[in-house]
Amino acid sequence: MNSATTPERMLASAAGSAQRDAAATVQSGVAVIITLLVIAPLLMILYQSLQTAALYETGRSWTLGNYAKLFTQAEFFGAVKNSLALAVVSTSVAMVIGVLSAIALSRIAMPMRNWLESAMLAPIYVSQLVLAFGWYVLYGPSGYITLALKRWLGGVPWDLASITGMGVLGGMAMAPYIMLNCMSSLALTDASLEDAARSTGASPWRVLRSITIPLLRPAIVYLVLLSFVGGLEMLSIPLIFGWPAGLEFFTTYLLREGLGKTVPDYGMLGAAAFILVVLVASFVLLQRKVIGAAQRYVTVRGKAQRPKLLDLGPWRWLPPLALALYVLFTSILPLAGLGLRAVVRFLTPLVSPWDYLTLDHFRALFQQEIFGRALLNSVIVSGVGAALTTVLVALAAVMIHRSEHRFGRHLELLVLLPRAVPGMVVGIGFLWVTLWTPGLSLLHGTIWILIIAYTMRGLPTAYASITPTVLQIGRELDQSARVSGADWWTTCWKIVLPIAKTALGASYLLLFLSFFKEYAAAVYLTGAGGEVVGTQLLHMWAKGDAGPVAALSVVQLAFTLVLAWMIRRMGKEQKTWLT
Amino acid sequence: MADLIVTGLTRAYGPVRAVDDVSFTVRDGEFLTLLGPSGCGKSTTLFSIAGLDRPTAGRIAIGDTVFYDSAQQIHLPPERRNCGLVFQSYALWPHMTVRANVEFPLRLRKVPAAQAKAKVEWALSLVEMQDYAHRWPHELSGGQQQRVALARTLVYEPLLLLLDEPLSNLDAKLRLRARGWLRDLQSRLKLTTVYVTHDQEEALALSDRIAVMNGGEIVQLGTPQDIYLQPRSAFVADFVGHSNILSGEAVRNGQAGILLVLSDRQKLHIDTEPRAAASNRLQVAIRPEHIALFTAADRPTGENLLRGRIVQRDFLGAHIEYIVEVGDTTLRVMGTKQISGSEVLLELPVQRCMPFWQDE
Ligand SMILES: Nc1ncnc2c1ncn2[C@@H]1O[C@H](COP(=O)(O)OP(=O)(O)OP(=O)(O)O)[C@@H](O)[C@H]1O
Ligand SMILES: [Mg+2]
Repeated sequence: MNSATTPERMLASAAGSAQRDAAATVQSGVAVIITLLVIAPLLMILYQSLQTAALYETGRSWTLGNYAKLFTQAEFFGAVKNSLALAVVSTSVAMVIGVLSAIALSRIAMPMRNWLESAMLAPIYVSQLVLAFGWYVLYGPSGYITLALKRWLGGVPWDLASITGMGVLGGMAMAPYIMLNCMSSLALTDASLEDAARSTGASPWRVLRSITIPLLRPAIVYLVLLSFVGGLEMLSIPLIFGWPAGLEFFTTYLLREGLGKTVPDYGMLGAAAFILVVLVASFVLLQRKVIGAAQRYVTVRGKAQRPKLLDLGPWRWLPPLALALYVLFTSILPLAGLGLRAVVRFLTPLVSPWDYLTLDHFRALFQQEIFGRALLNSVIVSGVGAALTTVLVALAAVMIHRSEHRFGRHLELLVLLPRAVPGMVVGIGFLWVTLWTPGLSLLHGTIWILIIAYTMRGLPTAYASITPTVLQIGRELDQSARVSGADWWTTCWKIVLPIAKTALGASYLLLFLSFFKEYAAAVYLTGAGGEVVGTQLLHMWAKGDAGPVAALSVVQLAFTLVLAWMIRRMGKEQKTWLT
Repeated sequence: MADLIVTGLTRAYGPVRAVDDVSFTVRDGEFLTLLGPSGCGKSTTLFSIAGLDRPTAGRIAIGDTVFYDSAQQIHLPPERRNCGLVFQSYALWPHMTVRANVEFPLRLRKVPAAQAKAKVEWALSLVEMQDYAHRWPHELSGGQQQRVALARTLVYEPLLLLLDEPLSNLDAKLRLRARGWLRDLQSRLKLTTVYVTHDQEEALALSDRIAVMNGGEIVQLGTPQDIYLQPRSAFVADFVGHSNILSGEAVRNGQAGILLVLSDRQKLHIDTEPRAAASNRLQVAIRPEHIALFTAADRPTGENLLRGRIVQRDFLGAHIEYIVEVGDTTLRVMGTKQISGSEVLLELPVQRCMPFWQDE
């Protein structure tokens, strides 16, 4: 044997046992599945964008014409420009709301802090689509509050069918994520730094300006990029507020080009989708560069020393009041309005809703066979998809952090890559994978292709929630298992994963929730019989059935809130278990 | 069972050699200790034997079984070496009870249930932990966890017992007790043992032989008596027994050995042969308990008397530790009597002075 032999081959030659092969098989299997999941749809999009005709047609050839065509299209540029503008506005709004509320909640003494914090974070668990419906019902062009104000004041100060208006909504939709991340960051910073500044004579505002915010700067830079990406790939708000007003964005452009035409130009669609991926990916790369590898996981670690909370004296009621009003007008009222809309025939300030109470919307919903099917499909897709994703990512995480596998580092990049792929693009990619690959057309339009696509979408989420726990498990625990006779696979199965089981459970619920809410990846993939709640909502919305849409939203909301409650409980359990 | 033979073991991290060409043999049933300061490569050596770390070069074999051989490109994975390793942190699996922890290696070896039960009982009774079988690891004290960790490795009767500072998390009193029964257990079971520690007392008390390591190399290998009484370098003398080191220039002293001239021109008689080498730099090691302190009023008559100044005295109960400045070196001296005033005379008996030639 020469010295160039790889360690793996050396091991195989030395051991050669069936057990060792089992470990190698599992590791290779995980690596291959993840690679296919992540790379296949992207390659397919790139391939289609360079072909003269749709992938299922014969007589195609290579071309750059699709890109050329796209770049001469004024609509495309309009859509890109609008998307960038939307991203800028929503990022600014999200940052202002998110950072300020995080600082207020972490550093200012106020009554009902825990309540306000939970209420501010609640929208994370609600589908953006449902939230947008709620806003539409209240503040849209014919929304309840819009009409009421028009009647009393003769007009409203907002126009939600404008890019600024949508940007504000988008910002509010993303603000909870910003707030959550900032609060973790604030919890991690050493409170004694601030106390030290106070003791040297700095006023509270001075401390905020010179210590607290500068310490937050890395987190802020990271979050700006995160929300910019979120703004670029946003679909719900552009669809609900922009589409009727004729405003086109990158995502709605993709939707219209692919689904709105009788003969879609797949080549051009592919080119546009690929450009979106490149755009988003470059921001994600920038973000990774800025933040470095170490801080990728924002985890909340309880610091023993809590900072002294600032007492605002006579002004102490101001921040909680502002937060409460914000929650009232952005979450509680819209969701309540949506609930009300589900049980009345009309919702306008001109008539009292009590006179038009009805259960017809729910009845209509339950009578449709498709509703039961969509709900069942959603539960199956979320249940199975979350399980598959959790198992896959758990194995990948152990492989990345607890094996000498030579693909470890690359695997981590692959697992995190879907973060840079907008949901709709995932849908387009997998659609083409099923159309192009012989035999896979069986999956077309079924829930199985949804499960596959969601699994790909869920990789980064699952990885981020499982990895910190895997890293917390002392290396000696698996080393001692290895020495006492367990191979890699047994060590994974009997030692590492059981210890991480609470984190796996939390990851499962989190994925279940996000799969249950998902709609962007599904719009291209659902067919007759394979409907899910998210696409059904969009479908009914497009038909203009506001009542049943509200009813279905309420059903989805009820499901997600129960799940959210379970997740928060598990989160608490996990903390006590690990300490 | 057979001897463990380690030859030319090297572990490089880039340009750094954490373990550098280390060779030693542990005889069947022998207790060998790797002793050395932090970062000298003890754990790396131990982990290489266990298979958790992959050396860069060398060979590790026990009897006919080759664990690692860089020339033949053999690297047996840890689970196929049948070693037992006890970690400093014990590494009990938190999701298993004491019994399940001890049983796990037997389950891996597919030992029949009845037999496994008996073995678990046996292993737990060896460490006197039978009554704790149903407990969870976090319900045990540090010392108890340590004993369970030992039972977990003893239960499958490994070829080799490897221990990485297993006592360092225990308090002083418990450590003394644990040391006693560890030694007792090892000699009863006649287990070939490699023990890692940086505590010289532990090494001296437990070992059949000690390998003193420094900077990735073994600097001396011998019985505890050898290591203590005949250190082969100033480093060993210092590390084992906390010797004081005096250095200076050696000059010939007629027929009767040589004189060590310190930086402040004071002289010491040393009983050694002068040497022809270029350098005449000499280091002399002497243990704190071998130096005697006198005041001028005592009128000591010994041969090797140095003038010094007490800069610190620490009352340690059984004795008093004096820190004495002689020229520009400070010496630690164990005394039993109270000495007032700071000017003292130190007697360094010639037969207690251990000379080591220094190379340029
Ligand atoms: N992954 C690594 N990369 C580079 N150097 C390393 C690595 N692991 C260990 N070393 C170096 O190898 C040397 C030996 O480490 P080792 O853990 O064997 O020390 P040790 O003798 O067990 O020390 P201690 O008593 O502190 O446990 C150290 O100097 C350490 O810095
Ligand atoms: Mg060590």
